[in-house]
Amino acid sequence: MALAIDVDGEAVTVYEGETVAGALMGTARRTFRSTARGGAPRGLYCGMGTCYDCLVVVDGRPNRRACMTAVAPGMRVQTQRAWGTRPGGNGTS
Amino acid sequence: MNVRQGRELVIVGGGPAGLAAAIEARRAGIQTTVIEERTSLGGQIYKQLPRAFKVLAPPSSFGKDYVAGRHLIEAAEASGAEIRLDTVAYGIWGKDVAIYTEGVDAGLLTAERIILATGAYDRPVAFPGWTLPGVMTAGGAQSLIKTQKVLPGERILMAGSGPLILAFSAQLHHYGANVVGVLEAAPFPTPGAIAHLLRASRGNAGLLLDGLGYMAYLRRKTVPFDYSHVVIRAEGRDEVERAVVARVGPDWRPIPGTERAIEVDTVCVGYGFFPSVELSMLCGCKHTFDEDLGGHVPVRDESMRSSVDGILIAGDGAGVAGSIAAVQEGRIAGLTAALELGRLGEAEAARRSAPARRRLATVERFRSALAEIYKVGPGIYDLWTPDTVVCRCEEVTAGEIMDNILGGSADPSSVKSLTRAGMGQCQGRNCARQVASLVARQAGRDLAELPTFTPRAPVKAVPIALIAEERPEEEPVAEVG
Repeated sequence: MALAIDVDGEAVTVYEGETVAGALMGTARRTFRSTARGGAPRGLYCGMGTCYDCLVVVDGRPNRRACMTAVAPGMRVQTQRAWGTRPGGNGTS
Repeated sequence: MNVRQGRELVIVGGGPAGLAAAIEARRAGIQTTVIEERTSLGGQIYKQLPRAFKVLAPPSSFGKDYVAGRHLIEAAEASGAEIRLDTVAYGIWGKDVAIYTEGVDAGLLTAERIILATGAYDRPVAFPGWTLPGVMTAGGAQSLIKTQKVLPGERILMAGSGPLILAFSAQLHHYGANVVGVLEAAPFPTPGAIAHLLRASRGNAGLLLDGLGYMAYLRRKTVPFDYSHVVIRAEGRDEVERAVVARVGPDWRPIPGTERAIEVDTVCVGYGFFPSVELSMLCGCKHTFDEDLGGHVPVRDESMRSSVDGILIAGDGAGVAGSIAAVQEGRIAGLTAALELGRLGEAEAARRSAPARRRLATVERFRSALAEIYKVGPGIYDLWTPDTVVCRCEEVTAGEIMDNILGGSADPSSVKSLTRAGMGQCQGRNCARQVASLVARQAGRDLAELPTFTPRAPVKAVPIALIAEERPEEEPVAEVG
């Protein structure tokens, strides 16, 4: 079943049961965040919840592992900057 | 919050070993709780499709592993075991297993017996560019394809070692991925090693045929396959745009002058796995080091008992030997728990565990023969340059680590303190071994002898609000005027 989520302000069609990582990779969005120290792009690495590299902001909450988070209707996903709530970040809660 | 509940048997991990242990324990009438981090059972190899996906093809079309996994999962679900999904065991103190369920609550399970079945994760290999989007583990790529039905990229290079890169490459290609090359770090097997493998195939014909089948598939589809090759660099501005590969010697060290670039957008790295030993180390189990089992592995007797009373360990979390071994070890561990809890006599436990022990011995002969062919070369730890990020989480480079190995130091923990390497969210899973390798090299010591980063709870990040004894007041008590 298709559903709509928002990724960085863009409406994206995804499928119920997909992880945020699957949805992002499936729509050719391979950069999930930029790092705190070097501003380096990061994306999917381990795919199983152990590396904590695939972090995105979900509904304002930062540091969500995209590979372990299932999509939900109306979900707001943002490419994460740094650690989210700390200076330089873009998480709000 | 932090409610303490008593249990007879707590099994940490709902993959093949944990499920097999639960089934045997339940057969013996033991109250059994399975703790599983994911939202479904099966672990990595038996990872299931999301429940919401409508499956139009018969289960058998997803392969033998999927079918075997379904049977095991269904048997465990029907066994009467208490199954706690979406639940992480983040620490063990004595017989107390600290757990939390995201967004729900935290608690303590006081168990009479604990079986650790925590599985393994892809061996991290640090090389320049390994942190670029587009470089992912072979396991991560396989997961994407198997459970999300998404191709990892448009032009894929598979680099690594072992039968798994044969299997994963063939599976990726079969699902429609453009696999432009497969690199095997090991040299073509010697006649002696092949003979050894053939001898070990007695009772393991299925495994051998699987491997040969994948090789034949790649040949038929003309997917380039190179022995004695590794990826030495991933390049690109914001994502992978090309990979630089090189021929290696038998020690897996790149041979100068053999580098060449391949245009790819994805590099899948599959150099085997590390056992997840965070919990076994935390509760004080003795460990030894065996590179071909994945490195640090807990010491066990033949009934899966660790060096700590009441803690049993089964499956890849005790040394990477694959799913068949994991199931047998799980069965043995479940039966040992039943014996220790007085539900089975020695004779009955021996009788029930005999088939699993025989199967385990048979499959171990095959694994051992494979280990001879795919022996991990020390060069795998020397692909870094000073600018290569070693600690992915804290962005600590190899150069920074080298600069902070103080004269004569042979303790990776001091490097961790000075650089923050290992202090990030993955808690050292992806950098500890490389840091240790750099320290060992500098100290002129054997990697295997060095202490690991001190084990600490929580072994997985846990929201502090869930485990705090006191919650903040909703409203201020009074205004002071």
